Order: sequence, then structure tokens, then C-alpha cells
Amino acid sequence: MTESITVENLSKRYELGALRQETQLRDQLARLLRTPFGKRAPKEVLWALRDVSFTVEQGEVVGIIGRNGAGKSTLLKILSKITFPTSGRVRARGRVAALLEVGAGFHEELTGRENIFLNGSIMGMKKKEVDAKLEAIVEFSGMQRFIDTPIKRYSSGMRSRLGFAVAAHLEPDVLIVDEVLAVGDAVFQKKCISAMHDLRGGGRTVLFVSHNLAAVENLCSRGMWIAQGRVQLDGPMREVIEAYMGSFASADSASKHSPRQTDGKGPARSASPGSNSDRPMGICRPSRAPARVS
Amino acid sequence: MGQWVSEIWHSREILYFLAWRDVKVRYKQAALGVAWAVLQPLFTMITFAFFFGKLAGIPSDGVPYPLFSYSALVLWTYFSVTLSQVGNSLVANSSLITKIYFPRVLLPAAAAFGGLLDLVVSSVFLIGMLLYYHVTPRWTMLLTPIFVGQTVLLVMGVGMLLAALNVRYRDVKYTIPFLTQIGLFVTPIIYPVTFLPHRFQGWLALNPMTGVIQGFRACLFGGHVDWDVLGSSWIVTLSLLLIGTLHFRSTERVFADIV
Repeated sequence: MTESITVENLSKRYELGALRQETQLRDQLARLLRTPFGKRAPKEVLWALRDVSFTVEQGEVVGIIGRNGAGKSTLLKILSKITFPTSGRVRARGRVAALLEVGAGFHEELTGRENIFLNGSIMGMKKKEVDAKLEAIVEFSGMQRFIDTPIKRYSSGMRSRLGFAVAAHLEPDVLIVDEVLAVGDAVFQKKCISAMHDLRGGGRTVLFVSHNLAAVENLCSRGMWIAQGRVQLDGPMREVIEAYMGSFASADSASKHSPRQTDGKGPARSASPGSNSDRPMGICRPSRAPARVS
Repeated sequence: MGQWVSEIWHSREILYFLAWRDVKVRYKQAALGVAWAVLQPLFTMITFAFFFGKLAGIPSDGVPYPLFSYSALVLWTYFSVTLSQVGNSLVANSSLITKIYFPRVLLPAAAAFGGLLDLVVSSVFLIGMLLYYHVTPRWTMLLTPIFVGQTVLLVMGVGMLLAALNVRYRDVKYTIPFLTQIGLFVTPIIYPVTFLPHRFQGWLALNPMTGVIQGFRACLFGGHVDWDVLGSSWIVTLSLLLIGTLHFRSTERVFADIV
């Protein structure tokens, strides 16, 4: 087996507030006048990732789970070269396709067909490839009737179906997917999952972030739980999910005995399925959730 | 740098599709469509011909004033309209920058190339005017694309610099219209260079568009060519292109974090 992804001592720091405070020259000049030789006020920083290292073998399907703000998306953004690490190194072998948002780069005024070409090209397909796969993409999306309608008339579900249809035909060596199952109906989710199953069969490496634990367990052999910018646990998917859910159980029982918090983030949280809360979906019996396909 | 260039070369189809998108979208739901490419310089020319040519009696180097001003406006309209689009290209496509990786320079480049369609359309009208005014055809007319090319390089140079700055400082958005408005007066569009007192003419040559417009007109109408002005125009253009490229390269890593 060859290594498909190598991550070494990866850290990413964001400066909080810095973006809003001094993005105007005027503010910078004003600061310069006030304290011409003084040091800048220390900025509040956030380490989205701290010293993360791991390797992924070719053909592995890795599910990444963790609460909102744990650093999952930052990790995916660095792997897909969208943003750069503050320190550490990342290497990925072959063509990397990142699906961080379904239909990113779609233009409202263009038709479905035109957007397939635009999006496919930006995601790394050659025009010839898109030409060859156009029919398959349209069929996968189920948008045959509306393919020559500007997508500003599409519903959000239609849009994401078209976006995933393009992504499913990218044939990358490494596919990075961030929470695509949050959109689309059950039928389409099923289609997405089976498309990812096919990718796995083709020996492709997949990194999959989702709060849908049932889908993650179903698809992934290996799991990674990220908490506060660090890899908390890396191992067989089932074990990682159990440990992750275990952390919720202990947090819940702990908070039952502590005084109720007023910020609404305490035990009053509900885990309604489909909501984008940081509670995992299907928390009771992940293996029976409707998204499962066999 | 070599790696950067080869990556851009491999992504040339993205450049094509982004430019194609800009062109397709530009005149969607506009009843007059691509006619706007002619209407903008045309009405500017009519206004100039009336106020500056007729009322103020500004000379035009022996060329009919409407032709004199329109020929410059073809290039100037491309320059000013496209510069604003190139300068805003990163901010306007922030959803792409934060979601997909591709060479970032393709966004300003696509805006610069997409604007060429308008230039072609307004040039066709210029050819009509040349025929109407019975301008003698000359072989130097074949050299005009050189100056179109120089304008593209200039738009890219200044545009990349502004686009990269715009990611951090949105002041740039307000600076661009202001810059192009002043540029209209410090470029020999309304008047010939010789209209200015001699001591100002040297300053005008620092504006790279002066050489572009002078060279373009000389190719169309013949007459005296000031090689010093053309030379300094190219030096300024290439320097700006270098500065723009270097600044863009040194900041593009953080675009996704701060845009």
C-alpha cells in the first residue's frame, strides 16, 4: 500500500478580530498616528489545528467526526490547498478534489448545463471529460427537464443534486467531502452514499466529514475524532464513534448535576435529526438510521 | 515562479470557462445586450465631440474630432471598465476562493480577457467610422493589436495589484472609479499631447496609457511617432506588471483566510 496523504505536525492559527478591526487603511493610519513607535496590541489568536499528524493509505476511507469548531473543516481546507498551514506539512498524491460545498462556483444566471461545464472545469475536469460525462452527470442529478433553465430558478435541493452529480464524476485520486449529506432528501442521500461506495471500490482515498454518524459508520473503515484542533482518537470507525458518543453521555450526565447554564447551550439542547447542531445525528442507534444502504 | 507558470498553463481551461462565464453573464437580462459595448464609447464620443470638439474647439491633429476621440475611447473604455472588474475579481468571487482551489490569478486574468469581447465589438464600429471618414488604409493598421496587447498587460499589472489589495482593504473598490475618472483627463483622449504646454508633456508620458493611445492613433492615422513616449510607456507597463505579479504572488496564500 502506498501513502496517499501525509500530514506532519500541522498547525493553523487564526487571528480573531484582526480581520474586522483594521481592514481599512484609515484605521491603520489612525493607529500609526496614535502610537507611532508602539507595538501592536496583542491579537487574540485561535489555534484551529494543533500539531496534527497522520497518514492515510491509498484506498482508505476515513471518516472525520467532531463537534462544530473542532477544526475538521480547517483540516479539509488545508488538504485541498484552499488555505495554508501556519506550520507543518501536507502531501497528497494524485488529483485531489474537494467538495466543501455542493455546487460551489455555480453562477445563478447560467443554466444547469452551463454550470456543469463551469463547475466541472473549476473542479479540475478537462472540457473533453465533461463532454464525455455530460449525459451521465445529468442523469445522476435527475435534472433532465430543467437542465437548460438558469439555476436561479432551482430549489436548493436541486442545486445540490446538480453539484454532487458533477463531483461524483470527477474521478479524483483523493476525494475530500465536507457534510454533503446535510442537503438533499433521503433518496438523494442514498444515491450520494452509494456513489461514495463506488469510489471506495475504485481504490480511491476518501476523507469524509459528517455529523451523520450512521452514514460515516457505514462508509468508513477508519475514523478520526477531532476535538479542539487535535486528533483525539484515530482507529476503527466503530470504536471512534463509540468513544465520541461516550463523551456526550458523560458531558450530559455531568451537566445534569451542575447548575443550569443561562446561555441555552446546556442540557436544553435538542438533537433533532437533520438539524445542523453539533450533536451527532442518529445518536441512539446509528446502524438503524434511514441513510444506511447495504 | 516556473512552477506557478506551469500550473497556470495546466489550468488554462479554467481561464477559458471563467472568461466565458463573465461574457455570458454580462448582458443577461439586458434588452440591448452586447450593443452596450458600442453605446458606451459612442455616447461618450458624441458628448466629447460636441463640448470639446465643437464648442471648445480643441484640435485633433488633423483627424475629424469624432474619429480622434472614439479611437482613443475604444481602448480607454476597455481599460477603465475592465480595470474595475479585474480589481474586484477576487472579492466578487470570494465564494469560489474559500471553497475550491485553483490558481487564483485566473480570476483577474479571466476578467481581463472577458472584457476583450466588448473591445472587439466597439472596434468593429471603429472600422465603420474609418470607412465613413474615408481614412486611407495603411499597413501600420495591422500593428494596432500591439497596443491592445499592451493595454491588456497594463490592466493585468495594475489589476492584480488592486485585486490583491482589495482582499484586505475594501477601500480599493472606491479608489478604482476615482482613478479611472482622473485617468480620462491625464491621458490624451480628449486632446492631443501637443495641446498641452511643453513642460507638462513630459509628465503626461509617465502615464503608460499616453503611449498606448498615441501609438494606436499613429497606426491608424499615420503622423509623427514619439519613440520616447512609446518606450517609457512600455517600461512603465512592464514594471507595473512585475509589481502586480510579485504582490499577488506574495499575498495569494492568505486570500481564503481574509477575503
